[in-house]
This record gives sequence, C-alpha cells and structure tokens, in this order.
Amino acid sequence: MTEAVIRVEGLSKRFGGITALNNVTLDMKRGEVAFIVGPNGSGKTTLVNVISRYVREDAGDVIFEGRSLKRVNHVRAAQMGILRSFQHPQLFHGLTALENVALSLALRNGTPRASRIDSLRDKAQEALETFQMGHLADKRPPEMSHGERKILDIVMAFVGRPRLLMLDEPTSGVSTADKWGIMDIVIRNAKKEGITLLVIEHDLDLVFEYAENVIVMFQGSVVYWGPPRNMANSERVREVLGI
Amino acid sequence: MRPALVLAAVMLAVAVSVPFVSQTAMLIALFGFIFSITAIGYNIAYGYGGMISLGHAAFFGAGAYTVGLMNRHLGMGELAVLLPLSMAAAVLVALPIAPIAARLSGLQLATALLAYSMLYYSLVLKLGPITGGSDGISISGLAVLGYEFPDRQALGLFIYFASLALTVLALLLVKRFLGTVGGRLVLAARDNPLRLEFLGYVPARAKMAAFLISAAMCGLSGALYASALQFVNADLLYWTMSGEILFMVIFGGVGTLLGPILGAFVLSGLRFYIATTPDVGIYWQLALGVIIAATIYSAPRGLIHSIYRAATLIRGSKGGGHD
Ligand SMILES: Nc1ncnc2c1ncn2[C@@H]1O[C@H](COP(=O)(O)OP(=O)(O)O)[C@@H](O)[C@H]1O
Ligand SMILES: [Mg+2]
Repeated sequence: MTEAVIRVEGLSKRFGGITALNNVTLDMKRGEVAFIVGPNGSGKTTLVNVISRYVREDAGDVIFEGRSLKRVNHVRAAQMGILRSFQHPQLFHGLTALENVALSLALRNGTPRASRIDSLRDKAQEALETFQMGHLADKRPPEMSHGERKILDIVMAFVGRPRLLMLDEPTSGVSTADKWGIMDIVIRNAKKEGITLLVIEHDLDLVFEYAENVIVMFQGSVVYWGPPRNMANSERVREVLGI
Repeated sequence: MRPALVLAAVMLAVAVSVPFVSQTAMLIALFGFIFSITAIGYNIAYGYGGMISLGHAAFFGAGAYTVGLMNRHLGMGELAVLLPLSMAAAVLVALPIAPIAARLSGLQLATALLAYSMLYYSLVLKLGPITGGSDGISISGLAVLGYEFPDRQALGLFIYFASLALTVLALLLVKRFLGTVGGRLVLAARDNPLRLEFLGYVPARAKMAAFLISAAMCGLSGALYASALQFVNADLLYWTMSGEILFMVIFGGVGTLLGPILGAFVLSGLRFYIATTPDVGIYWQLALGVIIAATIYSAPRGLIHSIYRAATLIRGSKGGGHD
C-alpha cells in the first residue's frame, strides 16, 4: 500500500457560530485526482485553506507526507510543495502573464533562483503554451478575461513543482465549452507529472468524467467520500446535491 | 528605441553645457539633479514597492547631517568618504523602521514614517550643542580625492557634474534592477503580497530591500544637497521636506523611470522662483498643494504620462508600455 500524501484527521473549524468544518477525515494517495463538491458555504474552501495552512484548525491535524503540519504556516507549506490556486485569481497585476509565471518559477522552494527574469522566459513561455495561453504572454492580468486569469492562476501554481496541488473552482465563471478544455489540460498535465490533485468543482459532469474519488461536503461535514460511481446510490448525496 | 537614444544624447549634451551658458539655469539644474536622485530613490519605495512614506526627510536629512556633523566635529571634508558614508547613515536610520515599512501600508504606513522622521527632527533640535540646533551647521573645506575646492564656483561645478552622473547611474541601475527577479519581486510584493506567500516567499524581504535602497539614495542626495549649500539645518528633517519628496514623484509620475526626474526639475524650478521672488515664500506650501491637487485631478498618472501620450499623438504610432 502506498503511503498517503495528505491525510486530515478529525478537522474542525468554527467561525463564530458557523461550523465550517466538522470532524473531517480524508486522505489522498500519491498521484490521486480527487474532487470536492457541495453547495456554497459547505466548507470546501475552508478545507483547502486549512490544508494550505492559511487557516488554523480548532481541532484535528493535517499530515503531509507523514509529517504533522500543526506548526507549519502557509509560506512554509508552499515551500514544502503544497500549492494552490484561488477562487478569485490572485495575480501580480503590474506584471505580464509571462512574468507572473517566471516569478513563480524563480521562487521554487522559497529562494529566488536566477538573477535575470529573462533567463526564465523560455520555460515560462513553454508553461503558458501547455495551457494554451502562449498568445497572452505579454498581456497583464487587467487586460485578460476572467477565464484567462483563472488559468494563469493555475499555471503559476503548476510551475512551482507542487507535490499537492489544490484548485479552488478552476472553472467557475468560465463558459461550459471552455470548462472541458481547461479541466482536460489540468488533469492531463497533473497525470503526466504525477501531481496529487484536489479540485473544488461545481460541475458534476466534469466530476464524473475526471474524479478518481469524490468528497461531498455539506455544512462542514463529509457526507460522501469514495469513487464517483457509487455516489448517486446515497440518498443523502442526492439530497445535498439536488440530483 | 533609436529616437529615444538620440533624445537622451541631446538631453545629456544640454545638461553638460548648462553650467557654461547660464548661472540661473545651472542653479535650477543643480538642485534638479540632486532632487532627481532623491525622487528616483523615493520612487523605488513608493512607485515600485508600494510603500507610501511621509518620512523620507529622515533619510535625506541623515545624509545631509552626515556631511554637516563629520565636517563640524572631525573637520572631514573629503567627499569621496562623506558621500558613501551618508548612504550608510541613511540605511542605518532606515533599518529600525524597515520591517514596519515592509508590513504596514497606506495611511497607516505614511503616518508611522512621518512620526518616525519627526523623532530625528526633535532630536536635532534637542541636541543643539552637537547639531547646531535650529541654527544648523555651516560646512567648509570640502574636497574630492584630496583636491580642495578653491571657491564656491568650483565646488558647485563639481557637485553639478557629480549629481548629473549619479542621476544617470541611478537611472541605469533602476532600469537594470527592474529586469531582475529581485526587481520583479518588489513589484509583485506591491501588487499581491499574499500570493507571494502562497508561492513560498516572504514578501517583506523584497520590500525591506527596496526600502533600504530607497533610503540610501535619499541619503546620498541629502549629502550632495548639504555640500552644494555648504549648510544643513533641521528644516531638512521636517515633514514638509517629506512632502516635497512625495510631490516630485506624484507630479512626475509614480512608478515610472523618468517621472521622478521631471518632478525633481519642476520642484527645483519652483523653489528657485520662490527664493528669488519677494513676498511669495509664505505661499510655498499652498502652491505645492494646489499643484498636486491639479495633477491628481488632471493627470493622475503624472506629467510624464501626459508627455508620453502627447508624443504618441504626434508620432501617430501606438505607445508602448513604460515601467
Ligand atoms: N474567514 C472567515 N471568517 C468567517 N466566516 C468564514 C470565513 N471563511 C469561511 N467562513 C464561513 O464558513 C462557511 C464555509 O465557507 P467556505 O469554506 O468558503 O465554503 P465553500 O467554499 O464551500 O463555499 C461559510 O458559512 C462561510 O461564510
Ligand atoms: Mg469556496
């Protein structure tokens, strides 16, 4: 049996009176592609925030490659290879798409490598082209569409050599046609590089197509965790997802 | 590219000949170049690093007082020593506040730095026996590499060409810096520090570096200023001096390469006009305020952008991006 890359045990988190996470236990093995689904406010982003160490759990533990992350902050977690994208793209708006990616390349492991940004040009261009963004290399985020910004956000996380990559609604606000294109590229490249991938996604068609495991969340609790084919057998899942 | 090079050569030729053409023009350009170094330095913190400061007078003043104090107490007049020393002194003054500058932002930061700089202002007034208090310090016996300047004229000429050369050098260094990973890091730390953290980087490091480089350049220009006037007093540390530094950069163009230089020359011209026209001195702050308000209203990206736009219209071509 392969060891879990990431394991969360009994994670709970409350914000005031709201239970964002309620005793969540999960794990993912290396190279696994898992999806989180659930209605708005069910705690999906909070789970990603806790794993990436941006939000502290009230109870429970996050274990990454056999090591507890109790005393690890989000900067250190990123250096360890836990990278993520954001529901609202987080970019450097004064830099071109190419420079956004080049900077992420330069910062692998938290220490800037290469002194001139030009020396990273080819690699950054290559990464953009992998995600069919090559033609946008010289555009700055404010000149790009919402969908393009979301992809750029993903590319930045991708080139940082993630050992665990978490994408928060990578296809929200993107047209149905483009959704499949984006997800196809993401999954293909994650598979190629053996990246463990956790994706928050609302579109169940995409989930059924690509997920090896699905985590269904509702009001902070995991109501289903397993392969997509058994999902619809559960009355609770059908109720929560309205299917 | 080519027309820009030609223009740069022409401007350099003009700058070199100015001292031999007009005494007035030379005085304005002298302080224009000195303030250019100040403004280029300030722009690194504010324009590129996003750290708005109302305390840079402390760094300018640290440079100026390094010359004044070393001259008064140790009889030191060697500029080859004093100028680098003034940069070190400014960095030393900036060091305790740099971690705060790297973490606060906006009005909070501006006022924190204002308060910090006023500490040095009061200190200079309090320590009158050492610093000359409100009377200031007269500087004499300045020299470079052992050559003592025989008169004010020779000193002025040297400071003029030194400031011109240092302005060009600062410009080239900033341009080069922006092309490095470190330079892009500073811009990224301004744009989205949180994202940098999620890439595994501590943005405060880049910001602190930018802040200290900025302080060093202000210190250098403060020393040149004191040397040119052969005088320092506490006014250089007062918050209105910080206001004038901010004025140059906002007026010329925040975050642009040439904007700060433009702003510096405009400030120098205004200062000259005020100093040589009777009865207008009391309106100085008011005039600066009105000009800044008008700039923010009519050319929010600074005068340099308006010039670029005009040039683009004249050439009838599409303008490129300017850093
Ligand atoms: N930083 C926060 N402060 C207060 N409440 C929060 C915070 N983050 C999330 N919440 C609340 O926790 C619940 C779960 O939010 P979230 O994890 O963002 O849900 P999802 O991503 O599934 O839509 C919501 O009720 C949300 O309002
Ligand atoms: Mg969410």
